[in-house]
Amino acid sequence: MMLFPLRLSAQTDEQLMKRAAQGNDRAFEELYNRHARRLQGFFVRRLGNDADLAADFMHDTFLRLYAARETYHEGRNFRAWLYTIAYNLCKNHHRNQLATISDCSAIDALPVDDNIEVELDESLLRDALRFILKTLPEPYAMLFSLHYEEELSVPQIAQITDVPEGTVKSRLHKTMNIIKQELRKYENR
Amino acid sequence: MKIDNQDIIRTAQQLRDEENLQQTVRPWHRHRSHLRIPSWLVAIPAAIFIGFILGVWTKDTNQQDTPLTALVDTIYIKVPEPQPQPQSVHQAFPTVQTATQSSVQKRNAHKQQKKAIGRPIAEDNIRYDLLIKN
Repeated sequence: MMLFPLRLSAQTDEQLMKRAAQGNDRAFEELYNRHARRLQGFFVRRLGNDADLAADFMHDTFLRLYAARETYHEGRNFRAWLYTIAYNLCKNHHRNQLATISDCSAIDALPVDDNIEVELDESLLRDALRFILKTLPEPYAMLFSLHYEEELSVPQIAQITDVPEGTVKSRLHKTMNIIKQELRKYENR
Repeated sequence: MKIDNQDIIRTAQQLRDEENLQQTVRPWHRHRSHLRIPSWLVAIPAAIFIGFILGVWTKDTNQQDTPLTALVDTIYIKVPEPQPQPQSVHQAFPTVQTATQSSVQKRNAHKQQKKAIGRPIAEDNIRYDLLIKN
């Protein structure tokens, strides 16, 4: 038993979530303060730059997390749980919007080319990448976002998306190739 | 400049940071519409209020059940004082008379109808009909 509990800001996400599960609302608020901005940014990128919708989705994610806080069990990774809720909200949104969800099998079947070389100025790379990431097919954009932007591990993404780890690795590799191929179009501009 | 995976990842993360910084995030307490008030803080004043209302209501109903006589402070009944009668020989030694049927009836009727003289009934606002029934 901890006689002098650590300050909330000094605790890990999992410690805070455990305390929130025991009814400590201040601990939950600390989690919100840590992750809200980043999660809202994730939603902005995944929902087509709609800031209001992203704020609503972020709100909804934390409300769902708050409602389910008592089901949290020790050892569960907090960020993986948070992004599981966020991923499912995005998935439902795209389904409800009747968005064209690209068939991954067609892209999965493409051969992987490891020798794509791109030469670009840094400023051009920024502009090009900003555009390419917005036009990536959704499953690949989602994987890229979860792994490289939100810095979740491959096992965590496999758990979140309910896809085998090998498939996640392979798709991430292909995503990088798609980006490079798209970047090559900017080489001679 | 030759672009590799790390350049792409680093640039993507820079773009992410820029976008995240632009976000206006509402504080958590504004998200939560339900206020967390301790239950006892509601229960105790509510119990006091309900008790007060019940007390007032039961007092009202008890007042309706009180007998009408309780509402009357005092009833003054003036009893006629016996008139002093002049003493005479005849009256000191009255003649013995046999009671006739009519005189017995008259005496009995006089006993039953003992008149009370006091305030006029119309002025005292007392429901005598209820008093007699009770």
